[in-house]
Amino acid sequence: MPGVAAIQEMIGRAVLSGDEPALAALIDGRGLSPMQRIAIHRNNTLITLTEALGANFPVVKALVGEAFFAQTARAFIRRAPPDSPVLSHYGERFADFLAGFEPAAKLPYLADVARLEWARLGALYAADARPAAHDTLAAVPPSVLPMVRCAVHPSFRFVVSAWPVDRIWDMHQPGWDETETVSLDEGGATILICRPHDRVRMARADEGTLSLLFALDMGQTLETAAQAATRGSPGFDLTGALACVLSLGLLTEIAVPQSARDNHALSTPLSHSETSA
Amino acid sequence: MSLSQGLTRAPRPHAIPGAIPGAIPDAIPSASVGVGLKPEHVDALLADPGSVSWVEIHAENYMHPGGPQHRALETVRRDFPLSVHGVGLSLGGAHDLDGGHLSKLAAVVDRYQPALVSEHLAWCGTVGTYLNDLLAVPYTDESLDLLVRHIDQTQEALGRRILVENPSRYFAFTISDMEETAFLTEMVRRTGCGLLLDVNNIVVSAGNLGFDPLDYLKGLPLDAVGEIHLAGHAVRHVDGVEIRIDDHGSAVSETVLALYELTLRLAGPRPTLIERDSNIPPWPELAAEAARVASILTPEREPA
Repeated sequence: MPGVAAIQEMIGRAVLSGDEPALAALIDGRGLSPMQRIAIHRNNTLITLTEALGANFPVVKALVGEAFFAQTARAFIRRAPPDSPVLSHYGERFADFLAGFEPAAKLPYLADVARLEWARLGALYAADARPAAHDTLAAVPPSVLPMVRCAVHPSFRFVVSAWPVDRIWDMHQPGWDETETVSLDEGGATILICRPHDRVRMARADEGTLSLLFALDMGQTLETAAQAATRGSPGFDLTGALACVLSLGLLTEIAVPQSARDNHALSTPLSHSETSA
Repeated sequence: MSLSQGLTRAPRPHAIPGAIPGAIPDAIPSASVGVGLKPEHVDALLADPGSVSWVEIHAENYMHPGGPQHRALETVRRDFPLSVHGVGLSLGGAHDLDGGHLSKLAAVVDRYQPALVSEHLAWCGTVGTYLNDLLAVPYTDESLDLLVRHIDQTQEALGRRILVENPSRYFAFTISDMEETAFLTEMVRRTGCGLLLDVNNIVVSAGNLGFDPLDYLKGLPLDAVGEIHLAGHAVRHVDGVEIRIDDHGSAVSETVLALYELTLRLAGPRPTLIERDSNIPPWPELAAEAARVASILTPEREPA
């Protein structure tokens, strides 16, 4: 008699893939074949996981239609079933799967739309943190500004795409003006994503701004971060980048080093250390 | 009063932001009706709960660190006692419990201080693969030992008693050498856990496997029942064989309500939850169903 582990391995394979002849002796069919009984569980698994993927990737689903999405989802579920019961995190590999999914080859932007939806999902469920006020940096004396360090919001995500995937995403939101069209010839975009409060927000930015955020996130000072951004993007506009980043709510703590505070006799604290639990 | 008599008490909540200390409702009375909390119902529930006096969440929907879903639950939690229902721990799994998942469950329990915590007599995947379904275990000594070890581990990690739900089943194992009721009875005896009695699951399993629901009820240690679940199920036909599917996609059926009434007669009043996980109806429809269940649970009350 096989042990519980062997039985569960067999049933697991049968649910996802197909026949497991050895199960015939273990399952009482009661008028059906054992595999017809297993098929009830297969339906449960495929239907509910297809729904979970549809909830996580609603724009991909809208782009390809319900029937095509169901076929695609089933192929994906069999290839990459969830490894955790937390289904809000299911689909990390969906974009890569779509990129190589031959039946969807006519929609070359589809994988990047999935990347955008995945990034937005990550932002939605990320830890909460209070964003710094838009005018926080304006209060820092210009001579101290280079030494400032800024913490990046935990919900910061980004997508770099050769397609206007943010506009494609917008098209599928309520309130989209039906007379407006999106052309793939519009070209690509670097998209920053953040959830400063309850709503996920996104905005286009240049690659220099992305470099700046990476450097700040690694704990570099504003000066070093700006230098990194300028190295990659020679025309980098620091003022514009900071305005964009602050208006999205992408920065949380703005920390002025103690030595700079002493030197400049700053009396007001500039750091927001308060973050919600 | 012990949990088995229906009234449950959690430690005083401390983790609900914005709450007035001491003002959070923390107990679920035995003769009370709850619903599974759905984001689309939150505003209506807060405005007019009707007969609904507590809510249940799926723990797995709150295992991420932040976001608006937590804010909505924090708001609801200030007014309603809570039950946390896990669907993914795989207590019946052959492999070790996923320690990471157990920690996340403990974090949800710690954060929201529920009156009740429950899981399933089921397994839901193998190592690294989660099937998002609740699958039956064979009723053997080996299965029982695994289950008991996992329940012990869970109760230890959470520092509290849990309720374990009877499964809905679509097949029986030829190698089972005890009845489900005997298996559940032993589980309760060896772990001290309570039962979450899902009356819909009894009707689904009885239909699919051909047993008498009343015999089943009488075979259970009913004094261990800490909560009752009611839900709707679908009926399908496969090659002429009727199959009941536990999809939580419709109103509680008359058969389930009749068996519920009988259950109450045998077990006495118990906190009763209406589960609805697909085809979510508008709030007034669910509230009307809750009123009907409340009128069965406390007969002196007429449905609204």
